[in-house]
Amino acid sequence: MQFLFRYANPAQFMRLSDAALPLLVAATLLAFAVGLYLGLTVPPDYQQGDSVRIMFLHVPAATAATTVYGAIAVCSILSLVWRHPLSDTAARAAAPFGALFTALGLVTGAIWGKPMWGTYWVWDARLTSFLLLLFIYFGYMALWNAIEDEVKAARAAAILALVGAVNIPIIKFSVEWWNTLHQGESIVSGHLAPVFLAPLLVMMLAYLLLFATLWTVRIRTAILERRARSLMQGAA
Amino acid sequence: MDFLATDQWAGYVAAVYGISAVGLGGAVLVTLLGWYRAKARLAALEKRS
Repeated sequence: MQFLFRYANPAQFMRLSDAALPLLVAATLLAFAVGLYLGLTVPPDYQQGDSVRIMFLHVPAATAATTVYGAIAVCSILSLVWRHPLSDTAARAAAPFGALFTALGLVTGAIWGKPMWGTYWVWDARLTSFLLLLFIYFGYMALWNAIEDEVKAARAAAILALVGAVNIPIIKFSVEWWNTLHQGESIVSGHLAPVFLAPLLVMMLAYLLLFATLWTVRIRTAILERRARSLMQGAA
Repeated sequence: MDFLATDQWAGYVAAVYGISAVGLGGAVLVTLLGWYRAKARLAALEKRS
């Protein structure tokens, strides 16, 4: 815990992230280049044909959406329990990216659903719980903007984030708990053909690296904005 | 370029890659604009004070 407090105060964060950002950018670009190359050159699936290539963008977006929510939940715990100085800023900064990944997961899934299922949308447990995740993200961001007092807003948003975290295991296990049109888990269970596994894993890494990069920049932006606000208050 | 010779689902594949590119590219753009704007604003305030 001391580690988190020592290395994640705003001044230390700016220093560390300054050094880490070039590496993050390079790793993100490399992962996208390799992932896209592998995903676009892999042979078509014997059942799904070329539409299998949609998987290399749909699954990483969906994985990133739930991972970002996990990050927000961890930051919220750090904020509520240990009053960590940077956790509120980090949680708030992550939310728009989580909403974007969720929206991309929903849209790309719907487009994949049309040729595979014959429909863009069904109200099955996986799709519905994932749509709920998007609404939770919207609610979380709206709550931050609705309360003027930043301390109160942070506390309310952290509580909402932790309540909403109940939806994450529901999304994960919905395909096991209920009868869904959406297919079950296929990476850990080994149902995915090995030829598709490498591009999928690289693209998942690429999405997570992109999130880490953008999240870092957004936290840095929030720290600068806070400095600007305090300068303006000092001048007033 | 084998990957350009997609089957009858080419339109769906292209739509997904296009939408993802716009979404992710937009996120990069908005994030960078926010950073440069905040940096410029802080620099102006520091100069003034």
